[in-house]
Amino acid sequence: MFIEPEGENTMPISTEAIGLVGVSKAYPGVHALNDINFSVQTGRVHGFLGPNGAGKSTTMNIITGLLHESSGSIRLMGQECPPSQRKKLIGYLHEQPPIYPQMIVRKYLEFVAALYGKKDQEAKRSVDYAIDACGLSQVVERMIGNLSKGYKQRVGIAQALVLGSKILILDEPTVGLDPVSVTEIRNLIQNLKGEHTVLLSSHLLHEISLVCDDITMINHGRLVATGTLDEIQKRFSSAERYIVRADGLSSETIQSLEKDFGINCLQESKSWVLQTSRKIEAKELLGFLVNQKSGVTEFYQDETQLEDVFKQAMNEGGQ
Amino acid sequence: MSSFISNIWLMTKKEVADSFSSSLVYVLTGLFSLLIGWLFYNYVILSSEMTAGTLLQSVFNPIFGNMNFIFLFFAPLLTMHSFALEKRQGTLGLLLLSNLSHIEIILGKFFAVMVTTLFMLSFTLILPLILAIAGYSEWSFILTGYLGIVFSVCCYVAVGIFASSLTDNPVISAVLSFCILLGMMLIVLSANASENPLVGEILSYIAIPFHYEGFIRGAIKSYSLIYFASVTGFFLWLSERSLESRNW
Repeated sequence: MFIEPEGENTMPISTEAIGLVGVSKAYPGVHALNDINFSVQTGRVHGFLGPNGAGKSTTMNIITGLLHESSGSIRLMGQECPPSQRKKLIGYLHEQPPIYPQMIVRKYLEFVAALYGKKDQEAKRSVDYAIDACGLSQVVERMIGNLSKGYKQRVGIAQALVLGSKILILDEPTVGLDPVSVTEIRNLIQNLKGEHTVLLSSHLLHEISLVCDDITMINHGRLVATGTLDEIQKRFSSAERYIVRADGLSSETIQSLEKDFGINCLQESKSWVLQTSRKIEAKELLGFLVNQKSGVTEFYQDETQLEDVFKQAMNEGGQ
Repeated sequence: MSSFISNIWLMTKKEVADSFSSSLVYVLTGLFSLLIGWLFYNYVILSSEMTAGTLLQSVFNPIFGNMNFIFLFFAPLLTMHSFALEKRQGTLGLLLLSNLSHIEIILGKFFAVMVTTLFMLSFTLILPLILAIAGYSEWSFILTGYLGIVFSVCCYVAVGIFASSLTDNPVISAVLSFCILLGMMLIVLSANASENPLVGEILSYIAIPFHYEGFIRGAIKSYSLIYFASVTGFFLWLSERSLESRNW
């Protein structure tokens, strides 16, 4: 069953916006992608992570229909969709924004609308929406080549919105931008959430953790992990870390922690870092410290950083 | 059908606007007009010293031959950006993901370069007008001469667009299309050197000069029309294949 777009980008309602089922891509002598399976839920921002050459852009190009998969299938809104149809249903921002520097912003967006077959009022509505959503109203009459890099990126996102698709794929939209522009683009993506489903590729793990609800990691063309941010962090957390500030942490207590709980205790200035590869509930550990009359004044679990998770996942994926 | 034409028109409009916003077209037009004007002046002076032959033979035949030769160099320059720049700017993906088919994109770019070429040629219309004041009246030869140029340039532009579709470097695109065109010109040498009359005929037919020279002499041959249409169509089809191969 294929989706037949009816002029407008009408898509059936489904909780799954994008679904990849056993997608593989082979070039002569090279397997760029191998049996990739993951899904992106409707209205969420889904991070797509992987080191350089992992196959992120290939996967994105396949989802948009720019490349044809060697095997497997792509579902959009729960229904299988061939490449020729997919490209009409997805707004895509390539890593290098597809802009014509010599064109005026509004003329460019009108041209993009015309490329997607939008005419008259429909084109005007799409262009106005994209200008409004991307905060381009101040620069609509300016030549794209004269805009700052941040604004050029906004124009790139606007062209993806002009299609009117509910699904957006953004390939490293913040790469090469200054910190202010990064924050602006990040806020823009946050604003698109809910109204649009966004598949976002980025190298900035901090950004992924701030913007994305779910993530998928690939390496060497293979799927490493997919799920919510919490699920991924739990799965790849190699250690539990607790930060404790205590006035009366005796050497007996420390010995007991190391012997009975398998906890490695390290003193860092006035705090203690308690680290273990075992799963220990915070309340259990805190209860023990209170019983030992350790004089705990501060106790919290140190979240594993996404960088650590990413490294751990890539190590496991590479093996 | 109307959507097919409107899509081509959309692409042509954008490409023509791009071309005329760049200085390249004006530089090439100026150079072309200067060269042709200078050659025209020399041929007119020479023709006044000749007692035999007509103005057509002494002025227009060589002028049209030279125009054709100049376009051998200019067509690669006019087409080098067609796809190479789109690839370099990252805008080719935008076009390929749009509602436009590959052939609509290619034809849009083809017609845009042809519009630019006609713009360049339009400045040479002053030459027959100057001679008309002096009493020249063989307009049918002028018309077939211009037709020959336009048909030849169609082939050159199709070759240039094909070369541009193969690379993201405009310079490589220009060099490649120039080499292909030069090969199609020089094949006439092999035709002349061939000892086998049939092979000689076939090689002559493949060479571009064999066909446009007929037009310059005022003869519109059906096989030449078929030749121009098939060479243009063949290279545009190759361009389409080149774009299609990006999907795989």
